[in-house]
Amino acid sequence: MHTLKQNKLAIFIGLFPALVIYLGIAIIPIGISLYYSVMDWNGIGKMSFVGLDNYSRILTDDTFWLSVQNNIVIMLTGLVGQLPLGLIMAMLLNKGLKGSGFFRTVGFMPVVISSVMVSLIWGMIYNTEYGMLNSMLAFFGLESWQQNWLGDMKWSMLSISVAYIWQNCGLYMVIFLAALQNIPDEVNEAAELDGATGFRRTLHITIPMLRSTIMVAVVYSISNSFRVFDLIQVLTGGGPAHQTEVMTLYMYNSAFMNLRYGYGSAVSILILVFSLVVISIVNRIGREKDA
Amino acid sequence: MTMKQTKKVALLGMAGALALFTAACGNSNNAGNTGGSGNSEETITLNMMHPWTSPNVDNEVYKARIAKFEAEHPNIVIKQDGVPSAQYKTKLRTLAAANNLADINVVWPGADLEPLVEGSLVEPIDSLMDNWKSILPESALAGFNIGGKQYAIPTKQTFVDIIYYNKEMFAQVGYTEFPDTYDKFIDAVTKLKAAGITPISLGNKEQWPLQSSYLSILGDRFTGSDFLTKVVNKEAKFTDPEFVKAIAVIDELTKLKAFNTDANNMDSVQGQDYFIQGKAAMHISSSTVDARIRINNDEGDKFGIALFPGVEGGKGDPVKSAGVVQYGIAIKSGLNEKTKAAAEEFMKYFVSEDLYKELIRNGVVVPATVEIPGDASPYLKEMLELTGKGTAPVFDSIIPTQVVDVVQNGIQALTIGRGTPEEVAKDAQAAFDQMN
Amino acid sequence: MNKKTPLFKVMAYTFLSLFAIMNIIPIFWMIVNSFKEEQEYAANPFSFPTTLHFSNYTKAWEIANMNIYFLNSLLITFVSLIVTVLLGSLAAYFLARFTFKLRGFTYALFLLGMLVPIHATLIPIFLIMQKLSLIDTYFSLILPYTAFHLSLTVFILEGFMRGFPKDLEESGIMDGAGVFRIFWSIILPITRPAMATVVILNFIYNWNEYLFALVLITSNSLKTLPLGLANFVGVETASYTLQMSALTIALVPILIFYLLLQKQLVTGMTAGAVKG
Repeated sequence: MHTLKQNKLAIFIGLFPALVIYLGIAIIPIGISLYYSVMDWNGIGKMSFVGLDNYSRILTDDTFWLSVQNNIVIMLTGLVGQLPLGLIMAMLLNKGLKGSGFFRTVGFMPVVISSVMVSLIWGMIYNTEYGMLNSMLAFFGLESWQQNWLGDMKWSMLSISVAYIWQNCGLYMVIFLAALQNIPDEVNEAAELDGATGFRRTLHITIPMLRSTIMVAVVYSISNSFRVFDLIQVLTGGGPAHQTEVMTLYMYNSAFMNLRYGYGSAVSILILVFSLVVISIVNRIGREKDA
Repeated sequence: MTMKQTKKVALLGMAGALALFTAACGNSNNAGNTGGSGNSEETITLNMMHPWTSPNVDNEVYKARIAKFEAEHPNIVIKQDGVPSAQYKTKLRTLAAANNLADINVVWPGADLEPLVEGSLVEPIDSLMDNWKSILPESALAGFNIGGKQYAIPTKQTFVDIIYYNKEMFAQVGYTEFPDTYDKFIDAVTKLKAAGITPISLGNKEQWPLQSSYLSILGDRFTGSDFLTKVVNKEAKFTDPEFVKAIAVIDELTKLKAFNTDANNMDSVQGQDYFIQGKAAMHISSSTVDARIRINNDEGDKFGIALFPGVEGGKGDPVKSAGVVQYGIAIKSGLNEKTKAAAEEFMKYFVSEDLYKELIRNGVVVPATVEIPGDASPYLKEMLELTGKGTAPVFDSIIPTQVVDVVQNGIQALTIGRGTPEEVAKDAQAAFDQMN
Repeated sequence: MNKKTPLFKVMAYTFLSLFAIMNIIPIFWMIVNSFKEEQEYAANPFSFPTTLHFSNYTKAWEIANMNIYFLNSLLITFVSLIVTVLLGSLAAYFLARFTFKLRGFTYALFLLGMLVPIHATLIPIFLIMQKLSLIDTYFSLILPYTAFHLSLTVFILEGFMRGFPKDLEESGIMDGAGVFRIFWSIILPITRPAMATVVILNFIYNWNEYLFALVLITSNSLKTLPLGLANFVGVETASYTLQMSALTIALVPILIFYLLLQKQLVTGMTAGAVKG
């Protein structure tokens, strides 16, 4: 790189304030959770050290693994649903089309809407008896396709996934929109002169230029999917009978509802570890493509 | 800056972080900043945390009572922290973990109160009990009595197992009265179903309705009222055949398709609305929701109330209703002399005959034996009559939360055709055994 | 850029319109119901109001304590936002454009904050704030909001800044500008769309944050809007229509903010800015 890299004092001044707040408030709680995770503690009384007991109990609990599985479903949904959709929206709304401003705004609405509304709305879409989805199927004469979308375990995770895509794809649209601004018009124009068609241009020129942003979006999406809570809490509460539970719900129920705070803390550490593992794998894949 | 300096600073930062970390870990045993500001004017501020934020009639009564207390006690200020009820327990438990409760708290009875007592976070109030001797029966106080000491006084009584039914729909299948035996009840369900009516509306997303409103009373009808206490004292087991039979009722109702299809994706309020909209013939819920179903409803007349009928060979008394006292007012332990005196003064004033009367006047059931004002709602009088013949315990006020969780998930699984009543009982017992 | 074929335009508009409808209906439905009486909603959530109950809005304003909570929310949201974006963009700049020994480690550290399940931090944060004697102050919210969103801010901005051409700073170095000067006059201007992104995200997260506000604030005078918005639901009771009125009010600032910023999202680097 350049001569700037020598400027250690500047680097220090630039990073120090952010790091102080960050370490003090965001990292220390992780340390505290780690400490609680090896304790038997109901959140009020005395703690007692139990070593890795909490972890071994969690890892042998079928419900926990069910929630891991559901988290993976949510993660894949995010990666194959939200990101491409967000990217397509961003490209369509980048420049040129009339009414882009309007669509950019409505595209972002689901992100800002309160989870209470998300619950009420999707509850009405998925309702078996008078829900919009089943009514629509009936309208097209497809009664046999009607389902109990949230209550039937065959469909519940899929239904939640669709709501999840709807809720967050605006987030990635905004990120990609911002990234598209840094592709100079000349690049696109040059490609057009070469006779590259829209689709090929996208594939060979635009996407490679968005590479670093795509990695950002991928990691962000993975981290969001491992922390998903509200959406599932309001749609199914993790039920019926744990079928749609995710790790954060499992953690919350253990710690705050069942008063097993040590156990819950151990779950939160596992969430952290799992997401780190997935992200480092993805990073490795991303880097290989780079080479 | 040299490389060494950078390292030093980085280390320093880490050290600082570590110091903070250990500081936070060290259990904070300071009594906390209690309300007594102790300035010369002798104004005492009491912090009070309560879940009375939603626009309900009873919440308005509580807030008015607090305002009245402040008006009559100019030297005491009640600083209220109204916490949305759905997350009240989350906040209470976080504050408890940090030994930082408010001076006056609203607490839940039984299994919920126990950890607070074990952690010595709430003060026994035995010396004040003369105040309530004449109006509160022992049954109203039992849930807040742990180890022979009284820790809180309830403001409200809730009966959780009221069956609201649509009179027209029942008449349609030949029942002008609510079925008075289990067989007739099942017969009515079958006939309603055959007539194309959803027999029971249920909103079980939050999982407690099937446990609290259903299993409490089903259990009582089959096992009698002392069963749950016996289980806690290890004199009985969830796997006893009577209790398994109680769970099996939920299985039977599922097999008869008695519940609305979306029972597990609707919350309790949506379950009520489904019933109010005339989409189902019955809804089983607490006495509190009578406000929405009948009292504030122009068409409230078409709904009747009843209790679950007796079962053949059951040990329970079929006139009993499952009730629990709510909103126990408790004082934080370790307050200084003046603050404590003020808190006690508040408590005596707040939870009093006047409060109970005011609540009744507004259609709220109370645990106290006070005269019913003439202008009370006829619906309330009907409710009091229905529930006044004996009280059965509510499941989750006796059984520890961890076990309740297992039971709730187990009976919810039954409603989607997974598991058997025997398995639910076995899992519940296993969860209970594991705790001890 | 305007050489789109008609076929493309038809397809694009069909797709966008479907998408828009799916996103607008919920808001529309919320606003319609916000004018209804509770019993009217309970009886039929799809009907139109027989009369428009504007009084719902004044009632909702009172129940949610918006007189107080609204300003608190604005204050806390903006202070956290400014601190986060200021510190975060600076940190991102050094992480993205410099090489130093602990770069990788520092970067990973910032990533960690994006992975913590927020519920797990409630009790630890409470204990830390208690140690710092900050419970029940504005700082008890500003600090966690800043700390946790620094992660995301640094992460997104770093990703953008790293993507800039490697010789971007050359002109500044030639002119003898210092590092901070280069940050301010070369890097920041072309980061504008990304800055708009993180500003929007920070605003939404701060504006809607509920759990920390729930446990860390006890004084009525310091509480924020999301707490007020939860005031409508009791254990077995709810006032949905009033809540929808309140939610509609709470949505307005976010929408205004987004409308103001979304132009920034698409007015980024022009070819001229790179030449410097």
